[in-house]
Amino acid sequence: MATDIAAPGVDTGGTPEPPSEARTRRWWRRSGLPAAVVGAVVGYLIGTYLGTWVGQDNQQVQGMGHNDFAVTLGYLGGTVGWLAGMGALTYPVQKMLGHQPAAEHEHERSLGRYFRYTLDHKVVGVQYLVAMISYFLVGGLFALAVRTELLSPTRHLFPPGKYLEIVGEHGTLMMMMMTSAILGPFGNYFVPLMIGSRRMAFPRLEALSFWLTPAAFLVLLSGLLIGGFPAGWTGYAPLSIQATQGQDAYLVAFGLMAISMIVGGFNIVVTVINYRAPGMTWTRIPLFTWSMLVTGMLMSLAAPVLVLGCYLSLMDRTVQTALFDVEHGGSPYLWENVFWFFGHPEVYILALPGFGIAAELLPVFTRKPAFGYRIVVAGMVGVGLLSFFVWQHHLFVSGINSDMRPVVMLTTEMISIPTGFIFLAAIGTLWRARIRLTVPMLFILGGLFNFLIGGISGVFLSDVPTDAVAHGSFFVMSHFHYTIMGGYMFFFFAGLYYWLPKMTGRMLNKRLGQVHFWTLFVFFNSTFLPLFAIGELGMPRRVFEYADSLQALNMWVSISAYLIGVSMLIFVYNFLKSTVIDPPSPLPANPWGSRGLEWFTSTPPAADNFERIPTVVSGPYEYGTGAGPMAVFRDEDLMQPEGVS
Amino acid sequence: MADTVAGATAPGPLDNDTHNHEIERAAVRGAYWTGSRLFVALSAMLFASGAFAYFYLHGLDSQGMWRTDGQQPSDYVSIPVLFLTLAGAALFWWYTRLLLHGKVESSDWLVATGVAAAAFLCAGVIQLVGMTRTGFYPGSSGYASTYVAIMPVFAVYCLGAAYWLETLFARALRVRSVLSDEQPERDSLERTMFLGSAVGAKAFVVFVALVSVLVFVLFSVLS
Repeated sequence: MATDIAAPGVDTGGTPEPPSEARTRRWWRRSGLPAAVVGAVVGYLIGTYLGTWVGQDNQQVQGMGHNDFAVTLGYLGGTVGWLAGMGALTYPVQKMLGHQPAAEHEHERSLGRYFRYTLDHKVVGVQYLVAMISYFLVGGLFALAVRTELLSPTRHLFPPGKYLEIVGEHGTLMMMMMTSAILGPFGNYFVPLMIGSRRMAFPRLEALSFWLTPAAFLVLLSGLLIGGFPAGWTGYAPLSIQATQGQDAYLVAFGLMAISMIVGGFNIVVTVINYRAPGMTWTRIPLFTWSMLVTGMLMSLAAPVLVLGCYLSLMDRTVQTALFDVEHGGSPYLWENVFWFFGHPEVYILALPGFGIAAELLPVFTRKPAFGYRIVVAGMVGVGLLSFFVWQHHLFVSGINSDMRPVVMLTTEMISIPTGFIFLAAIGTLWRARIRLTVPMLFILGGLFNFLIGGISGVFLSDVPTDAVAHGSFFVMSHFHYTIMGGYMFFFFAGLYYWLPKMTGRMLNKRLGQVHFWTLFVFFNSTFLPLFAIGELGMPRRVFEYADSLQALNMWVSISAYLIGVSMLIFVYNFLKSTVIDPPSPLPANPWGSRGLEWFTSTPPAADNFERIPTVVSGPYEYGTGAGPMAVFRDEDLMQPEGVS
Repeated sequence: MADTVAGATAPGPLDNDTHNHEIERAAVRGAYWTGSRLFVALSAMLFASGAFAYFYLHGLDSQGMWRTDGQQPSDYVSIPVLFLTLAGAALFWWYTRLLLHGKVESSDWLVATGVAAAAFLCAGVIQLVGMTRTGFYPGSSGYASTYVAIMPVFAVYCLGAAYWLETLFARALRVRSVLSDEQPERDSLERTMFLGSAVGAKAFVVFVALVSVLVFVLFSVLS
């Protein structure tokens, strides 16, 4: 993996390099989206043919009535074909032949670069942004389908199996794809800019991390066409082993997304450690970058466990191993342990980037230095470390050794301490500040409010007696929606409203942004607050019939959920109007008056970010302290972004 | 790391290209070092999960089906694989160490790397072929299941090590200056990248060798 690098200006030893040949090919012979689609279809057909051939003489396959070899190899073949068509395999093959292609300086500004395997981290960031919003909206549509079904306790829109498929698709799409909702667009786009680098450490890996996500998304959606996956987003055995072929889609998609996470997180970690500009000491690194570093580390170390889990499950379904089959020496608890060893760090993979955005933006809109910078960093690192020691609280009611429960309860409750560091530091920054209530700031404040509710309800759930009652109920569902949608997605929108001007040179409409925030904030709480009560009143998750007495509350929740959908439409309208349909006039270079290094570049930034790598001379949050600009580009050319005070 | 590189504290006299080049050269060197170590760490998590599955099912012994009589991978597979990975890793590690200290002829390093790549390739192929002749059904026990599941992953890592070494071998053959210890090649970005990759590969092949010891102990020594 570490061989995948090419730096600008590499001496290639005088050998002719294939990329220049590629540019002269006709469009239909070039790597890119059309070739990727063709490659995916061809790869899928080859994989399916191979799988059919392997499975046709297999007695177990014939006995089961469905050939999981064919489905799995079809998906994997399709993914390889997709990546080959995008051009992802060109470089590894060239390496085998002894070439070291130079990273091309991508000065192309056409729309086409967003549909290619690009080495420009900013293009990858935009690709991620559009893709993640699309995945989120599709996942949201599944949520609305779920809420539509729950309008009535007895009259049904879907049969029970289909309802479970839809719940599973919603949960998996959100928990799987959204892991990269902040690290993908904002991490890839802004981390190099924030640390004063001209590039990412491994640009091809970065592109790979993105182009795996459409493959994972399509594979997951295709599961609906072949029976869905009844085991939900957690994929518990033995149901996952007994399920029909839709389960293969879940396992392949989650595995692909886990690889994407590993690759993306790996790249961020290596970049932050090695590509910092001179003077960018550890205590000057922006807090958002710190959150990306810790998240990248969590992704790199937790996601391999998920990869192995998905692989083991596929082996049970295809090769007929018995890892999760208790009758033949396996155990379904093995899956629970492996899955949650990834699954709980994943919660912090989702939470930490949001904290990072909040910590980054608060000083900008309070015009104060970040309160407790080192405490926030310690909190992020502490959360990251502890997240590996809490996974067994998901097994409290699944037969965990009772002597282990207090230990895991303690570690789980302990994680609220570093989380509290971060939260209290945010409050400290707000304290006695001149708060600017811009749209990003509204989303930060809304996110902090929501996360507080989500965090406190989580403390209850870490407690064994409470969890024994609330486990599997809508109370738990409401809790994690408060932390992930109420926290993470609100912070995502804060980041989007804040950084989009740098990414596109266009500011989203302020009035529509305010309407988006207030409708989302009100209807989000109106949707999920009653679900705590519904859960406490005994309504379990994933069951589509419920007590008549809960219908009024459920109708309220469903109608509120539709209104969240309306709020999202307002956002989509604003996004398209402000960036494509009717973009406003050009903005000042630094519309928020931020000290951050990312605002020192042109808008949108040039291909190599900085003509000259800057030297950092002060911290990013020295607002109101009289400190000079954060960086200089040469001694005689002190440079300060416009509007900084 | 980057804040200590040459030229960082006094950028004024340097033109932009030289200034950027000096910083990025140090960054590239560091990226290979950090990247290879992180890759080893995440791979360790992958195999640790496999080891967890092994010990978890071994400890549970569900239905007394951890391992049935006679389930043992062939020594004709496991011992050659162990030998090849250890020998390949030792060879590459030693000659790359000499290369970094300027104590070896470039042709010697090329031969050692080529042999090491071949050793890892053979180990991966032998392991994969051996999987078709285990003599037990994949789902016949917990032991059989973990063996059939984990060993292909190990084989892929052997092939990955062979690939990495082959890329170094091919690059050094194509551009011999990357092995040169003389100026101006010595400070070129090309050589920095090559040596960074070699140092990364050194860590990786040692890791694969350690994994080969682990799987040998788990599946062929422990009962």
